[in-house]
Amino acid sequence: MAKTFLMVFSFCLAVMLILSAKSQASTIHVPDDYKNIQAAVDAAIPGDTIIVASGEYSENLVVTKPVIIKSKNGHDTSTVKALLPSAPVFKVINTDTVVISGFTAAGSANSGIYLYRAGKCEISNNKTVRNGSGIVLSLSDNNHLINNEIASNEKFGIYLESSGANTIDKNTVSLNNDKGIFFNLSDNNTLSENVVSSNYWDGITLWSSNYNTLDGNKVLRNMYGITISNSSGNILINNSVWRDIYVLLPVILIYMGIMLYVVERKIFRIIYFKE
Amino acid sequence: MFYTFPWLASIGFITATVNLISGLQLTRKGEIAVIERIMHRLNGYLSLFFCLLLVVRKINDKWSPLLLATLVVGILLYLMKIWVVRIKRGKRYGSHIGILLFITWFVVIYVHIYKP
Repeated sequence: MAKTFLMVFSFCLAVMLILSAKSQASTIHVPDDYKNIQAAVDAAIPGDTIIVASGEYSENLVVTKPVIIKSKNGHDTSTVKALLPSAPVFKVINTDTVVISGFTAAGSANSGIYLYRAGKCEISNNKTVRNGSGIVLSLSDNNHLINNEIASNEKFGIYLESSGANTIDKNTVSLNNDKGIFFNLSDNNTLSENVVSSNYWDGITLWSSNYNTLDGNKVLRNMYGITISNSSGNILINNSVWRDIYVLLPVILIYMGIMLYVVERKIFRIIYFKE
Repeated sequence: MFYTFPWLASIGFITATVNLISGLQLTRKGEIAVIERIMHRLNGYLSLFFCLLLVVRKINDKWSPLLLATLVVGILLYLMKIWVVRIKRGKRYGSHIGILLFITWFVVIYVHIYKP
Protein backbone atom coordinates (compact mmCIF):
# COMPACT_ATOMS: atom_id res chain seq x y z
CA MET A 1 0.00 0.00 0.00
CA ALA A 2 2.78 2.36 1.00
CA LYS A 3 4.70 1.42 -2.14
CA THR A 4 1.71 2.22 -4.39
CA PHE A 5 1.17 5.54 -2.60
CA LEU A 6 4.86 6.41 -3.06
CA MET A 7 4.67 5.60 -6.79
CA VAL A 8 1.53 7.73 -7.30
CA PHE A 9 3.06 10.57 -5.30
CA SER A 10 6.30 10.41 -7.38
CA PHE A 11 4.32 10.38 -10.62
CA CYS A 12 2.26 13.42 -9.56
CA LEU A 13 5.42 15.26 -8.49
CA ALA A 14 7.08 14.54 -11.86
CA VAL A 15 4.02 15.77 -13.78
CA MET A 16 3.90 18.95 -11.68
CA LEU A 17 7.60 19.58 -12.25
CA ILE A 18 7.25 19.14 -16.00
CA LEU A 19 4.22 21.45 -16.12
CA SER A 20 5.90 24.14 -14.03
CA ALA A 21 9.02 23.98 -16.21
CA LYS A 22 6.83 24.37 -19.31
CA SER A 23 5.00 27.40 -17.92
CA GLN A 24 8.18 29.32 -17.02
CA ALA A 25 9.23 32.00 -19.46
CA SER A 26 12.32 31.08 -21.44
CA THR A 27 14.61 32.63 -24.04
CA ILE A 28 14.58 31.43 -27.63
CA HIS A 29 17.41 32.25 -30.00
CA VAL A 30 16.99 32.73 -33.75
CA PRO A 31 18.53 31.16 -35.82
CA ASP A 32 20.15 28.82 -33.23
CA ASP A 33 16.90 27.31 -31.89
CA TYR A 34 14.63 28.10 -34.85
CA LYS A 35 15.65 29.10 -38.35
CA ASN A 36 13.13 31.90 -38.73
CA ILE A 37 11.41 34.32 -36.39
CA GLN A 38 7.85 33.12 -37.11
CA ALA A 39 8.75 29.55 -36.12
CA ALA A 40 10.15 30.89 -32.85
CA VAL A 41 6.99 32.93 -32.24
CA ASP A 42 4.79 29.89 -32.95
CA ALA A 43 6.80 27.77 -30.52
CA ALA A 44 6.95 30.40 -27.79
CA ILE A 45 4.64 30.48 -24.82
CA PRO A 46 3.35 33.77 -23.36
CA GLY A 47 6.16 35.68 -21.65
CA ASP A 48 8.98 34.13 -23.66
CA THR A 49 11.78 36.26 -25.05
CA ILE A 50 12.95 35.75 -28.63
CA ILE A 51 16.43 37.05 -29.34
CA VAL A 52 17.18 37.45 -33.04
CA ALA A 53 20.77 37.48 -34.28
CA SER A 54 22.01 39.94 -36.88
CA GLY A 55 20.99 39.23 -40.46
CA GLU A 56 18.31 39.72 -43.05
CA TYR A 57 15.07 37.77 -42.66
CA SER A 58 12.30 37.56 -45.28
CA GLU A 59 9.07 37.07 -43.37
CA ASN A 60 5.62 38.41 -42.59
CA LEU A 61 5.41 37.94 -38.85
CA VAL A 62 2.08 37.42 -37.12
CA VAL A 63 2.17 37.70 -33.33
CA THR A 64 -0.91 36.57 -31.41
CA LYS A 65 0.56 36.03 -27.95
CA PRO A 66 2.44 38.19 -25.44
CA VAL A 67 6.08 37.64 -26.32
CA ILE A 68 9.19 39.80 -26.40
CA ILE A 69 10.94 39.93 -29.77
CA LYS A 70 14.30 41.68 -29.68
CA SER A 71 17.26 41.88 -31.98
CA LYS A 72 20.66 41.10 -30.55
CA ASN A 73 22.54 44.05 -32.07
CA GLY A 74 19.95 46.70 -32.96
CA HIS A 75 18.17 47.77 -36.12
CA ASP A 76 21.32 48.51 -38.11
CA THR A 77 22.15 44.83 -38.38
CA SER A 78 18.76 43.09 -38.07
CA THR A 79 16.42 43.58 -40.99
CA VAL A 80 13.07 41.92 -41.58
CA LYS A 81 11.80 42.29 -45.15
CA ALA A 82 8.25 41.48 -46.16
CA LEU A 83 8.03 38.13 -47.94
CA LEU A 84 4.57 39.05 -49.21
CA PRO A 85 4.54 42.80 -49.95
CA SER A 86 0.77 42.99 -49.43
CA ALA A 87 1.04 42.00 -45.74
CA PRO A 88 2.70 43.90 -42.87
CA VAL A 89 6.22 42.97 -41.84
CA PHE A 90 5.18 42.68 -38.16
CA LYS A 91 1.49 42.15 -37.37
CA VAL A 92 0.41 42.07 -33.73
CA ILE A 93 -3.20 40.99 -33.45
CA ASN A 94 -5.63 40.41 -30.56
CA THR A 95 -3.03 40.33 -27.82
CA ASP A 96 -1.38 42.40 -25.08
CA THR A 97 2.12 43.20 -23.79
CA VAL A 98 4.10 42.35 -26.92
CA VAL A 99 7.54 43.95 -27.23
CA ILE A 100 9.17 44.52 -30.63
CA SER A 101 12.56 46.13 -30.36
CA GLY A 102 15.61 46.76 -32.50
CA PHE A 103 14.54 45.79 -36.03
CA THR A 104 14.49 47.38 -39.44
CA ALA A 105 11.12 46.58 -41.03
CA ALA A 106 11.06 47.20 -44.77
CA GLY A 107 9.45 46.33 -48.09
CA SER A 108 5.74 46.01 -47.24
CA ALA A 109 3.15 47.87 -49.29
CA ASN A 110 0.91 47.62 -46.23
CA SER A 111 2.94 48.68 -43.17
CA GLY A 112 6.16 48.04 -41.30
CA ILE A 113 4.56 47.33 -37.92
CA TYR A 114 0.80 46.85 -37.62
CA LEU A 115 -1.06 46.57 -34.31
CA TYR A 116 -4.68 45.44 -34.48
CA ARG A 117 -6.69 45.17 -31.26
CA ALA A 118 -3.44 45.15 -29.33
CA GLY A 119 -2.77 46.76 -25.94
CA LYS A 120 0.12 47.62 -23.66
CA CYS A 121 2.65 46.75 -26.36
CA GLU A 122 6.06 48.39 -26.60
CA ILE A 123 7.48 49.23 -30.01
CA SER A 124 10.97 50.63 -29.47
CA ASN A 125 14.25 51.33 -31.26
CA ASN A 126 12.98 50.12 -34.62
CA LYS A 127 13.46 51.56 -38.06
CA THR A 128 10.64 51.31 -40.60
CA VAL A 129 11.56 52.34 -44.11
CA ARG A 130 10.07 51.98 -47.59
CA ASN A 131 6.72 50.52 -46.51
CA GLY A 132 3.16 51.60 -47.27
CA SER A 133 3.03 53.18 -43.81
CA GLY A 134 5.62 53.01 -41.04
CA ILE A 135 3.70 52.04 -37.88
CA VAL A 136 -0.09 51.55 -37.88
CA LEU A 137 -2.31 51.15 -34.81
CA SER A 138 -5.90 50.12 -35.35
CA LEU A 139 -8.32 49.66 -32.45
CA SER A 140 -5.30 49.47 -30.16
CA ASP A 141 -4.97 51.18 -26.79
CA ASN A 142 -2.29 51.87 -24.15
CA ASN A 143 0.68 51.09 -26.38
CA HIS A 144 4.07 52.78 -26.19
CA LEU A 145 6.01 53.76 -29.31
CA ILE A 146 9.43 55.07 -28.36
CA ASN A 147 12.68 55.93 -30.11
CA ASN A 148 11.72 54.60 -33.53
CA GLU A 149 13.04 55.94 -36.82
CA ILE A 150 10.31 56.08 -39.44
CA ALA A 151 11.34 57.31 -42.86
CA SER A 152 10.61 57.19 -46.59
CA ASN A 153 7.27 55.38 -46.42
CA GLU A 154 4.70 55.69 -49.20
CA LYS A 155 1.88 57.04 -47.02
CA PHE A 156 2.07 57.87 -43.33
CA GLY A 157 4.90 57.61 -40.83
CA ILE A 158 2.68 56.77 -37.86
CA TYR A 159 -1.05 56.18 -38.36
CA LEU A 160 -3.54 55.72 -35.52
CA GLU A 161 -7.10 54.69 -36.29
CA SER A 162 -9.67 54.40 -33.50
CA SER A 163 -6.89 53.96 -30.97
CA GLY A 164 -6.60 55.65 -27.59
CA ALA A 165 -4.32 56.29 -24.64
CA ASN A 166 -1.18 55.47 -26.59
CA THR A 167 2.16 57.17 -25.82
CA ILE A 168 4.32 58.12 -28.78
CA ASP A 169 7.60 59.74 -27.83
CA LYS A 170 11.12 60.44 -29.01
CA ASN A 171 10.50 59.10 -32.53
CA THR A 172 11.99 60.55 -35.71
CA VAL A 173 9.43 60.70 -38.51
CA SER A 174 10.82 62.05 -41.77
CA LEU A 175 10.59 61.99 -45.55
CA ASN A 176 7.27 60.15 -45.76
CA ASN A 177 5.25 60.72 -48.91
CA ASP A 178 2.04 61.79 -47.17
CA LYS A 179 1.60 62.82 -43.53
CA GLY A 180 4.20 62.33 -40.83
CA ILE A 181 1.87 61.42 -37.96
CA PHE A 182 -1.87 60.97 -38.56
CA PHE A 183 -4.47 60.47 -35.81
CA ASN A 184 -7.83 59.40 -37.17
CA LEU A 185 -10.69 59.00 -34.68
CA SER A 186 -8.14 58.54 -31.92
CA ASP A 187 -8.49 60.12 -28.48
CA ASN A 188 -6.40 60.63 -25.34
CA ASN A 189 -3.04 59.89 -26.93
CA THR A 190 0.21 61.56 -25.89
CA LEU A 191 2.67 62.69 -28.52
CA SER A 192 5.88 64.09 -27.03
CA GLU A 193 9.42 65.02 -28.06
CA ASN A 194 9.16 63.65 -31.59
CA VAL A 195 11.05 65.13 -34.52
CA VAL A 196 8.70 65.27 -37.52
CA SER A 197 10.50 66.65 -40.54
CA SER A 198 10.49 66.83 -44.33
CA ASN A 199 7.26 64.91 -44.86
CA TYR A 200 5.52 65.65 -48.15
CA TRP A 201 2.20 66.79 -46.69
CA ASP A 202 1.32 67.58 -43.04
CA GLY A 203 3.75 67.04 -40.20
CA ILE A 204 1.07 66.06 -37.66
CA THR A 205 -2.65 65.73 -38.42
CA LEU A 206 -5.45 65.23 -35.92
CA TRP A 207 -8.69 64.28 -37.66
CA SER A 208 -11.79 63.75 -35.50
CA SER A 209 -9.45 63.09 -32.60
CA ASN A 210 -10.04 64.60 -29.18
CA TYR A 211 -8.17 65.18 -25.91
CA ASN A 212 -4.73 64.35 -27.27
CA THR A 213 -1.61 65.98 -25.83
CA LEU A 214 1.15 67.21 -28.13
CA ASP A 215 4.17 68.26 -26.08
CA GLY A 216 7.67 69.31 -27.14
CA ASN A 217 7.54 68.06 -30.72
CA LYS A 218 9.75 69.56 -33.41
CA VAL A 219 7.79 69.83 -36.66
CA LEU A 220 10.16 71.11 -39.33
CA ARG A 221 10.10 71.50 -43.09
CA ASN A 222 6.76 69.85 -43.84
CA MET A 223 4.21 71.28 -46.27
CA TYR A 224 1.99 72.13 -43.26
CA GLY A 225 3.06 71.87 -39.64
CA ILE A 226 0.26 70.71 -37.32
CA THR A 227 -3.26 70.38 -38.74
CA ILE A 228 -6.23 69.88 -36.45
CA SER A 229 -9.64 69.29 -37.97
CA ASN A 230 -12.99 68.31 -36.53
CA SER A 231 -11.37 67.79 -33.14
CA SER A 232 -11.64 69.31 -29.68
CA GLY A 233 -9.92 69.35 -26.30
CA ASN A 234 -6.42 68.75 -27.68
CA ILE A 235 -3.53 70.28 -25.72
CA LEU A 236 -0.49 71.67 -27.55
CA ILE A 237 2.53 72.67 -25.42
CA ASN A 238 6.08 73.69 -26.43
CA ASN A 239 5.90 72.43 -30.00
CA SER A 240 8.25 74.03 -32.54
CA VAL A 241 6.74 74.38 -35.99
CA TRP A 242 9.15 75.81 -38.56
CA ARG A 243 7.89 75.17 -42.05
CA ASP A 244 10.60 77.07 -43.92
CA ILE A 245 13.47 76.53 -41.50
CA TYR A 246 15.65 75.21 -44.33
CA VAL A 247 15.53 78.60 -46.02
CA LEU A 248 15.13 80.80 -42.96
CA LEU A 249 17.84 79.49 -40.67
CA PRO A 250 20.84 80.07 -42.98
CA VAL A 251 19.50 83.55 -43.84
CA ILE A 252 19.17 84.43 -40.14
CA LEU A 253 22.65 83.04 -39.44
CA ILE A 254 24.23 85.02 -42.31
CA TYR A 255 22.49 88.15 -41.03
CA MET A 256 23.88 87.47 -37.54
CA GLY A 257 27.31 86.93 -39.13
CA ILE A 258 27.15 90.36 -40.82
CA MET A 259 26.10 91.98 -37.52
CA LEU A 260 28.95 90.24 -35.69
CA TYR A 261 31.39 91.41 -38.38
CA VAL A 262 30.31 95.06 -37.90
CA VAL A 263 30.56 94.79 -34.11
CA GLU A 264 33.94 93.05 -34.26
CA ARG A 265 35.34 95.72 -36.60
CA LYS A 266 34.16 98.49 -34.25
CA ILE A 267 35.81 96.76 -31.29
CA PHE A 268 39.11 96.27 -33.14
CA ARG A 269 39.07 99.91 -34.32
CA ILE A 270 38.66 101.04 -30.73
CA ILE A 271 41.48 98.77 -29.59
CA TYR A 272 43.94 99.59 -32.39
CA PHE A 273 43.16 103.18 -33.39
CA LYS A 274 41.52 104.40 -30.16
CA GLU A 275 38.63 105.80 -32.25
CA MET B 1 14.82 69.40 -24.95
CA PHE B 2 18.17 70.97 -25.85
CA TYR B 3 20.19 69.80 -28.82
CA THR B 4 23.89 70.74 -28.76
CA PHE B 5 24.76 70.03 -32.38
CA PRO B 6 22.51 72.56 -34.15
CA TRP B 7 23.79 75.26 -31.78
CA LEU B 8 27.44 74.37 -32.40
CA ALA B 9 26.82 74.24 -36.15
CA SER B 10 24.99 77.60 -36.04
CA ILE B 11 27.79 79.36 -34.12
CA GLY B 12 30.34 77.81 -36.48
CA PHE B 13 28.35 79.06 -39.47
CA ILE B 14 28.20 82.60 -38.02
CA THR B 15 31.99 82.68 -37.49
CA ALA B 16 32.47 81.29 -41.00
CA THR B 17 30.32 84.17 -42.34
CA VAL B 18 32.41 86.77 -40.49
CA ASN B 19 35.52 84.99 -41.76
CA LEU B 20 34.26 85.19 -45.35
CA ILE B 21 33.39 88.92 -45.14
CA SER B 22 36.72 89.84 -43.53
CA GLY B 23 38.47 87.68 -46.14
CA LEU B 24 36.77 89.63 -48.94
CA GLN B 25 37.91 92.88 -47.29
CA LEU B 26 41.55 91.79 -47.35
CA THR B 27 42.01 93.43 -50.75
CA ARG B 28 41.82 96.83 -49.03
CA LYS B 29 45.05 98.64 -48.31
CA GLY B 30 46.26 100.68 -45.36
CA GLU B 31 45.62 100.51 -41.63
CA ILE B 32 42.15 99.00 -42.05
CA ALA B 33 43.70 95.97 -43.75
CA VAL B 34 45.55 95.17 -40.52
CA ILE B 35 42.28 94.88 -38.61
CA GLU B 36 40.68 92.81 -41.37
CA ARG B 37 43.65 90.43 -41.35
CA ILE B 38 43.39 89.93 -37.58
CA MET B 39 39.62 89.44 -37.77
CA HIS B 40 39.99 87.01 -40.67
CA ARG B 41 42.55 84.95 -38.77
CA LEU B 42 40.60 85.02 -35.51
CA ASN B 43 37.30 83.95 -37.09
CA GLY B 44 39.04 81.37 -39.27
CA TYR B 45 40.52 79.64 -36.24
CA LEU B 46 37.22 79.99 -34.35
CA SER B 47 35.25 78.28 -37.13
CA LEU B 48 37.92 75.54 -37.32
CA PHE B 49 37.53 75.12 -33.54
CA PHE B 50 33.75 74.67 -33.88
CA CYS B 51 34.26 72.23 -36.76
CA LEU B 52 36.60 70.13 -34.59
CA LEU B 53 34.22 70.44 -31.63
CA LEU B 54 31.41 69.01 -33.79
CA VAL B 55 33.65 66.09 -34.79
CA VAL B 56 34.65 65.40 -31.17
CA ARG B 57 31.06 65.63 -29.88
CA LYS B 58 29.83 63.41 -32.70
CA ILE B 59 32.30 60.57 -31.99
CA ASN B 60 29.88 58.76 -29.66
CA ASP B 61 26.83 59.71 -31.67
CA LYS B 62 25.15 58.56 -34.85
CA TRP B 63 27.06 59.44 -38.02
CA SER B 64 25.36 60.10 -41.28
CA PRO B 65 27.60 59.55 -44.33
CA LEU B 66 26.85 63.08 -45.58
CA LEU B 67 27.90 64.68 -42.29
CA LEU B 68 31.04 62.54 -42.04
CA ALA B 69 32.07 63.47 -45.59
CA THR B 70 31.29 67.16 -44.99
CA LEU B 71 33.29 67.43 -41.77
CA VAL B 72 36.27 65.57 -43.24
CA VAL B 73 36.22 67.82 -46.33
CA GLY B 74 35.86 70.87 -44.06
CA ILE B 75 38.90 69.99 -41.93
CA LEU B 76 40.96 69.18 -45.05
CA LEU B 77 40.01 72.58 -46.53
CA TYR B 78 41.02 74.35 -43.32
CA LEU B 79 44.39 72.57 -43.31
CA MET B 80 44.86 73.37 -47.00
CA LYS B 81 44.07 77.03 -46.43
CA ILE B 82 46.56 77.30 -43.54
CA TRP B 83 49.19 75.62 -45.74
CA VAL B 84 48.43 77.87 -48.72
CA VAL B 85 48.80 80.98 -46.54
CA ARG B 86 52.04 79.63 -45.04
CA ILE B 87 53.61 79.16 -48.49
CA LYS B 88 52.54 82.71 -49.49
CA ARG B 89 49.95 81.61 -52.05
CA GLY B 90 47.00 83.01 -50.09
CA LYS B 91 46.24 85.82 -52.52
CA ARG B 92 45.90 83.45 -55.45
CA TYR B 93 44.09 80.44 -53.89
CA GLY B 94 42.78 81.75 -50.53
CA SER B 95 39.50 83.10 -51.88
CA HIS B 96 38.64 79.81 -53.69
CA ILE B 97 39.22 77.76 -50.56
CA GLY B 98 37.35 80.35 -48.48
CA ILE B 99 34.26 80.05 -50.68
CA LEU B 100 34.46 76.25 -50.57
CA LEU B 101 34.65 76.40 -46.77
CA PHE B 102 31.57 78.60 -46.63
CA ILE B 103 29.66 76.12 -48.85
CA THR B 104 30.83 73.30 -46.56
CA TRP B 105 29.33 75.12 -43.58
CA PHE B 106 26.06 75.44 -45.50
CA VAL B 107 25.95 71.65 -45.83
CA VAL B 108 26.78 71.24 -42.11
CA ILE B 109 23.85 73.51 -41.23
CA TYR B 110 21.54 71.68 -43.62
CA VAL B 111 22.43 68.28 -42.11
CA HIS B 112 21.79 69.56 -38.58
CA ILE B 113 18.43 71.20 -39.24
CA TYR B 114 16.35 68.07 -39.12
CA LYS B 115 18.81 65.53 -37.66
CA PRO B 116 19.85 66.93 -34.33
